[in-house]
Amino acid sequence: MEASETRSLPENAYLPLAPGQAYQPVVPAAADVKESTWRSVLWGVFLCVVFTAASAYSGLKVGQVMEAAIPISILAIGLGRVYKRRSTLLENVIITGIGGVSGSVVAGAVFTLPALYILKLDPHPWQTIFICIAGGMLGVLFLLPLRRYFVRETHGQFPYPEATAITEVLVTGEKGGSQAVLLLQATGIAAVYDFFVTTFQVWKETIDLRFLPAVEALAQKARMTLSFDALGFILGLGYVMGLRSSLLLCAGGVLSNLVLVPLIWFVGSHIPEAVYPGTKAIASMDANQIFRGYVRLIGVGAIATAGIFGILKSLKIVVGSFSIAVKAFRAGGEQALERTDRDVSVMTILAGVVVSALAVAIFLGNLGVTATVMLVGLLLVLLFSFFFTSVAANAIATTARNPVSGMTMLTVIVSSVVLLEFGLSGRTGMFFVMAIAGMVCTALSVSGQTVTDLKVGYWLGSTPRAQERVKFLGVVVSSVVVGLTIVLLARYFQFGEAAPGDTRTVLASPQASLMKVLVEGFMSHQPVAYLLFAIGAIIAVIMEMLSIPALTFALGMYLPLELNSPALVGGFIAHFLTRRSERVGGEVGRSMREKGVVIASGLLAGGALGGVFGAALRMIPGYSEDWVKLPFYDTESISQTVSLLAFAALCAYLWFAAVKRDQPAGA
Amino acid sequence: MGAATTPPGEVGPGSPPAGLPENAFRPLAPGESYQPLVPASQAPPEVTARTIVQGVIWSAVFSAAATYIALKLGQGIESAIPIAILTVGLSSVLTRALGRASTLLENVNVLAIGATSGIIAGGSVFTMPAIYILGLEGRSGFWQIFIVPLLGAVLGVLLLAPFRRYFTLDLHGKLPFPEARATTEILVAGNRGGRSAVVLAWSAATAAAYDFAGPTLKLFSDTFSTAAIGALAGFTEKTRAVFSMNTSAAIFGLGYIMGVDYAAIILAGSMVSFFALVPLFAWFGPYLAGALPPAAVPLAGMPAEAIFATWVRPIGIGGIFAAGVISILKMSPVIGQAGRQAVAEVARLVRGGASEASARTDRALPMWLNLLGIAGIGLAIFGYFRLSVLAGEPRATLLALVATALTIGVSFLFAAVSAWAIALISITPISGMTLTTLIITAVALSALGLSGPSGMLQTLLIGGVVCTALSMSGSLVTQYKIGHWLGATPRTIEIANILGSVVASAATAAVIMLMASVYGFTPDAAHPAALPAPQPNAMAAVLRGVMGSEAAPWFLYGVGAVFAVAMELCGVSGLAFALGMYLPMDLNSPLVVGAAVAWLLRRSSKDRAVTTARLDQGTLIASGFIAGGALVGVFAAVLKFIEDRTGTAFVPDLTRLPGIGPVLAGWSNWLGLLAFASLSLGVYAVSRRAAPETT
Repeated sequence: MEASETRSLPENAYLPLAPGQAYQPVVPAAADVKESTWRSVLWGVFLCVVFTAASAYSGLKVGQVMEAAIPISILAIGLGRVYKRRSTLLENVIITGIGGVSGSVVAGAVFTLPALYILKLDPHPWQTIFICIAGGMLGVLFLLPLRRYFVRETHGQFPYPEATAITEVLVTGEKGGSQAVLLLQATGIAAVYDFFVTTFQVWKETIDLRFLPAVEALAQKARMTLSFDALGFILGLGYVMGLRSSLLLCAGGVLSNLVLVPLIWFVGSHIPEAVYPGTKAIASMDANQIFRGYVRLIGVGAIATAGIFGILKSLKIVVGSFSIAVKAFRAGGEQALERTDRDVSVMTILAGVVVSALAVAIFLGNLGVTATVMLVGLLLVLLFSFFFTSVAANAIATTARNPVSGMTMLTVIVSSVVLLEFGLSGRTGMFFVMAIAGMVCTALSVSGQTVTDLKVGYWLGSTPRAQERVKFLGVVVSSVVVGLTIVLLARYFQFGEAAPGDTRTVLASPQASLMKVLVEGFMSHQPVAYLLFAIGAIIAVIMEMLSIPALTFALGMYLPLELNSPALVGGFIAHFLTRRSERVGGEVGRSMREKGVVIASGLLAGGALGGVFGAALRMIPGYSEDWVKLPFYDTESISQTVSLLAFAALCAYLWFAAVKRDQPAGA
Repeated sequence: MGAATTPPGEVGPGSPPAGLPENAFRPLAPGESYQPLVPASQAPPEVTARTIVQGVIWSAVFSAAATYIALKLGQGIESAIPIAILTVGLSSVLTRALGRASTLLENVNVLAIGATSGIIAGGSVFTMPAIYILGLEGRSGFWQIFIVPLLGAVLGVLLLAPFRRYFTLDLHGKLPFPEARATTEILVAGNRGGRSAVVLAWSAATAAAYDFAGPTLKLFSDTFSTAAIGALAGFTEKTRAVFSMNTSAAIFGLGYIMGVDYAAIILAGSMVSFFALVPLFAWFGPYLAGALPPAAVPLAGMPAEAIFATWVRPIGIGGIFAAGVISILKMSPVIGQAGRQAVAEVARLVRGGASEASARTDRALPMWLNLLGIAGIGLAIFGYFRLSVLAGEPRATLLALVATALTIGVSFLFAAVSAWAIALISITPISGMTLTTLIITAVALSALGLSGPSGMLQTLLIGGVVCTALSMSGSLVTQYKIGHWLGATPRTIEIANILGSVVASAATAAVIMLMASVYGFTPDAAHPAALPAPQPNAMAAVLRGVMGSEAAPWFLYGVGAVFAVAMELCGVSGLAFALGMYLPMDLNSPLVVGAAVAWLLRRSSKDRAVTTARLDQGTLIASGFIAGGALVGVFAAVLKFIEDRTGTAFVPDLTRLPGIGPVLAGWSNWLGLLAFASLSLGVYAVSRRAAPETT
């Protein structure tokens, strides 16, 4: 299969299919292309190890887990050209698939496990590793039955921003030509832009216009703040998400930040003492603190409820897809199905779930609890993982963002409340709950990554079974590395806040610190702010009633507004570009749309690369943000205006580079 | 809001109904001309005594009903279609009584007089009650509330008249005119009208009896509420989340006609208010020692309704306001188009295009009379403002001049917009345009130094004229089109409309004043159970903010405005949502029940003809429910008014009866639910029996 040149993505790759129409991937089902070769698996494992270690460090230090899959896909293209036999497209999918696991396992681990160290519960290294492996396995296993629903049946309905970027990188990179130049250009621009903005003090990353007196007054008097994270990455994300999704996301953000936060302030500012779950008087909180203290909990309630609706809606197809698989299995293997629709066999999945459940049961049983508590714990792990798997897949497919910390929070709270009923409390209780949270957190984070990977494979024509098998490998490798990294770091650093008498350097690990506060509180019988969750649930029900995709809206409520507002700009550009291209029509219009997606993917890729470089730089001892600092940086009015102009320039680039017609004769 | 409800009866896609010429609904080929059903050469009776008597009765009856519904629910009701049905139905009765059947064109004119009811009600109910809300009634009276909509209506007729040919002839077949089509079909298919009229009549009677038995006789509770359920007392006390549902037949009917999409949005707004925001406020209760302004008592002791009325309602007002402005922005292409057309038409008329037509079907009020009329109205408005409203203000003449210019100018623009909107989608954003007028006027007059009560009253009156003028033009364009299809003389339609406005203005003014006296429009000590009157409250809030001296709850308005914007971002009608947030839950939830019955009927059969017949039957019953329920609501108010004046109770309160009384009182909450459930099931069952006609 050496010779054939890579084709570009078919026209219906991003569109819902007409009845009777079938999507033909880039590599057709009938073709037999090398996938899991020694080369792809070993490189995948190698990159997975590297990225896991780096990601773990950056996640613990600044709470930012590196986006791994896109950079790895770029590396894969480069690697493929070093060999005499160029890697096939599907080999690159495998490399990306294994390597991409790193980011997700790390997110699961660093959001929860350091809490154990902060609580001085000092887990054994095996325990740390086991929690990651169990969670990761469950995440992959529970996602597999959902594959047909999320990847195949709903083709064209979810934007899959991250998967789109990876696919574009792999296809365009393979193909070369003018599109590849464009991709490279966009990647370069976004990489430089995002790197400098996030790593140094060149101009402001976040625009809030509060240097204007009117805006500042609004923030002071009403706690209404608008902010805007001017990054190429989010611009590209919004473009790929499209207008509808980014509008919904923003609407949720508006509801949270401009309606609920001001309302809470309106009432709360009259209260002298702190209102639970906040820890200080609302009058002295700024908008962001009110958001984090109260409104985010409403968002979590909304996400969870929207998740239940999502499960109910996908239930029919999931059951259907399961029965297809069972039938195929009975009929003697799954040879009947096309190569591109062949999963790991149902029996393997079931066996995997049973084995994982047994292992988890043994693990939990060894924590010094009664058999009942152990069973309840096991049930919680399975239920939450199963439930959040589909939430995570849906969230990633729509917005490329996974509400990991919110869902983990919910797990911690519900598990604590339930287990308290069964008489568990104190230090054992905290360990037990954090172990559950760790597994659930890893499961949902891994499942989100897996669905991205499977979608890439679907577009390009991978064999799902091959992707799934190496996924398990990736989980194990990544878990071992992240477990060891955390153990190692715990020896030389301390997590969270500096303990008295401990002189070791502190790694902030913000998310895990939050979990620690939660688990400590609930294990000592703190009341739960049920009302805030309930309000979120009501809002999700209302959105569902109005046939608005509730999960997208809920994610908007939960994510900080500054991450949603730039996506809206991207969404609008996509909308107007599509209209323009439809007016132009024909081949030229089609190429406009294609170029738009290529550039947006480049922005995503470049942003991710810039982030990785930034994280790498932060590991250098003595690093400081003002290594590069422009003289006007501290003057808000100038630096924000510059930032606004720079972002506008980025938008203009996206628009004009996409609209520009190609030179007729080869350039 | 306002005239936003459209009949769900489907408008036929292409082909006109039997009886109409084949080219009625399609653009004409060059050289082809449209021949109406009654050709121009014939001149059957058009305006006769029976036309006027019938028209005046319908106008008065439907004005009263529409005013009541708009005050209670903030919704306009469809009057043209029920009036058409009743007119056609009565035709056969009159045949026997008067010796000849009514002619088609007589019926068109009955409709022209009667259908003004909805327009006048829409125009004045959205503005005039604000006079009471702002406490300006001392400076106003029946004449003011009567004359303002009347001036507006006549102005609307005169302003639209020059565009008649453009809308009916030039654009023949190019605009859909959904409402005009539905009405024309009823008028043409006369025989079916007889049976429909019977259904309308008995369903109105049923609703009247039902809505009298509940709220007035207290046979069952008019509101089902979870707050009245003992088992839920703890939950209600803790969260203040209350579900309540009015059990009235009129609201059920409104919900049926509204359809499930729109009703769901309104209910969603209510759910946000009562299940999310009220509990959120209540949650802070235990922490707050003192009272939270603007309330006077501590939050912790307040029931859900009080929390809603104090803080959540203003959020809804802000939402209504923002959504109104957004609806205007969304209409901006239409506004631009209408403005350009208006200028072009005027230019053509000035060049002498308005030659006196000879054909009967093209004969309208002469152009000179038209212009004279506008000038006369302008003069009347000026005199009225100068001598009555602004008397005693400094620079009164200048102010009155500006006010008159604004009135005529804005009416002209919005009348054109409204006609366009009705012709295209049969919905016109009345409240949005009125709010815009109020803002423009208030800002302009404030800049000239007018403020305080005179300023508010002045602005409100301008709003009232504009609001009625634009509603009128929307309705008149429909009637022109009906007349064009059927062959009526435009001049008689114009005169009929003006006649109808007089009757309707009087009826509407009377009902508004009655309701103000009996129920009030804002809750206070004298009127604890005020009618919600959403649009007037929003208008009053704007005026109070711009021209008044009191501190307005700007914060809550602002939050509500942002909320409406967020809903618009999601592609949900912000207006419906904000209206839902503003109205109490019990008035919104029954809408969904009505809408659900319609939804079930739509899915009750696979045969399209069968479902259409069933849905139409349901629509008739629902229309009857609205009219019957609303009229009995007005009747109950009259009774209460007399009772209050005379101090004697002559309506029995069944819960006071010995023996059965306490039982009724104890079970009234559940009886209400039971009654409403039976009513809904009844409508479903009766409508399901309808079969398609065999022709």
